Amino acid sequence: MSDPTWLTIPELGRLLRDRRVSAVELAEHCLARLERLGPAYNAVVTVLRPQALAEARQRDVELAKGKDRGPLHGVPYGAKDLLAAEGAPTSWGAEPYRGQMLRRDATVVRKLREAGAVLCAKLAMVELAGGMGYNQAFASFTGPGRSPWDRARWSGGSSSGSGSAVSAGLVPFAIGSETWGSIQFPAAFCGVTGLRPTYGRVSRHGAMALSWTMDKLGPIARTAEDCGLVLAAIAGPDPADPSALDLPFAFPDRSAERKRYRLGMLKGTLEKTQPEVRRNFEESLRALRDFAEVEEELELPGYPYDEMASIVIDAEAASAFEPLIESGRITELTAPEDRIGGYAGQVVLAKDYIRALRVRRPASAALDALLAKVDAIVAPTLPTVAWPIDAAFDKVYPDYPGGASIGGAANLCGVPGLFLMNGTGEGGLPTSLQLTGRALGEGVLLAIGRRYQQRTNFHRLAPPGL
Amino acid sequence: MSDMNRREFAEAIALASLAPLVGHRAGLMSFPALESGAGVVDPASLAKALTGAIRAQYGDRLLESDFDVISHQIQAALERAAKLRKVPLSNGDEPDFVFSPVRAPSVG
Repeated sequence: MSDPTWLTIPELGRLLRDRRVSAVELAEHCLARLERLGPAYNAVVTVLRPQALAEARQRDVELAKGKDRGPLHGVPYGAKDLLAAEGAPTSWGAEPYRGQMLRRDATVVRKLREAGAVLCAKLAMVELAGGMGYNQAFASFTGPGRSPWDRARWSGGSSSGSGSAVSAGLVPFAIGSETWGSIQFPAAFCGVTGLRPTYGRVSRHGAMALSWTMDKLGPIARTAEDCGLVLAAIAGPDPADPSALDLPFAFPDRSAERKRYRLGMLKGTLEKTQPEVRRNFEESLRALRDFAEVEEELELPGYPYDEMASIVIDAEAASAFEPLIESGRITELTAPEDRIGGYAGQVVLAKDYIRALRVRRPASAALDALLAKVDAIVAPTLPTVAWPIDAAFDKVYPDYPGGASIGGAANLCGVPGLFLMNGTGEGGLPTSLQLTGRALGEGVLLAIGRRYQQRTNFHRLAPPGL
Repeated sequence: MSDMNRREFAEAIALASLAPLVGHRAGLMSFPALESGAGVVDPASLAKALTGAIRAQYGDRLLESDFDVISHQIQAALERAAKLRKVPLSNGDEPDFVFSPVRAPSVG
């Protein structure tokens, strides 16, 4: 078997269908890497060796009989440990829930099984997906997530293990979640491709709730194409999640293919970013201009998006984690600030939460009107490279807080985002490019991402020493 | 302990200059809104009162220094809410959720 570590999903699929590798061999390869390398990055909570090998054997039998479940057939993956998987503990990254056994699979896990993917591990995450307001990387019972590009740097969070496991070649793809930044940060800090789908694209059933109206589940993988193939498997309606849209997603989405695209930039988006981030972004723009026009003077509508997002998350998390707070076991959380971070949310005024939900509607319409002017808004994913592992977040890179950002607005309004490595910066660490599109516009973002990755090679770079 | 979390950091890096706030009510029947703003409580004093509510419920398990942090967090949340009040809304502007009545299938 040739080394499959850095191959994309279609490349793995060809090996499987040409019988040059079996699903069992692929699973064994990933399980060995998860067991050997996972601890170095604090990337893994539970390796599912027996279950994965049993599933892989079944996938091999099926292929031998001519049953092909599609592009993910026999492909190993990992799931953020906020997704329920029958037979495995689901810890939510938090000591009070360590060993929690949930009896049913999350819909995403079920759909991936039906698509033939092989679940190899539950991956580490920031405790409670960061819902208690962590301010440091040491915020999980598995330890701080470490970037495979430099173990002294943070992997990003809260989907820490999903980012680092893909980056280190432990699995070809992983599922993460984003309420506000939790796919974005790990994709950027680990130098991989991440997709935050439209709110409702993917069922949240069986996933830990942080914010019922802002949580999204999405893939982290090597390429935009890989993300599209995974999204196609996990998108769609689910009676168990009323927010799940009855809109299956096909990939590639031919309706999203264009000869040329229109991209926009927010005015001031490059202000106060690290010089290397700015340089790599400008280099990315040159590649994008091969097939896109770029309009540079867009402005975010004048709504307090970030404030609304904070109020919504605070209020919903206060209810979601009320039992934990009431129990007093919140003191068992790892980060000291998380042990008291849930109390303020307990007294969010109902009128303030309702007002946030009322303003969200016109604010979403205004954001959509902006996004409708272009195919995507392009920006650096983050203003710096990965943060030092031992730095408090509010103290790190004070000179580079970044410029105008669409992140809060995009998450509040539930629109999709794609994050792609676009070079290396300080210390040889990854920098990243983000595309934000209209609701249900994943196909367009992925098409642009594919074209970009056809012209560049950053998605093929492996972290040093791996 | 620091009083800025990752979300606040994200807010800080997201500081887009807020243009004049404009409501958007296309296609919806509009009712006039009353002028608001009079009688708005100072966030610091309201935060102190709400911290008292936390103290009443959980005071036995928190330190005085914890209450300082919590009070600061409550005040920050109230200041965020104050910014939302600058967005004009009228009576017909509904929250962005829809309640669905349930009727389970009949048995037998």
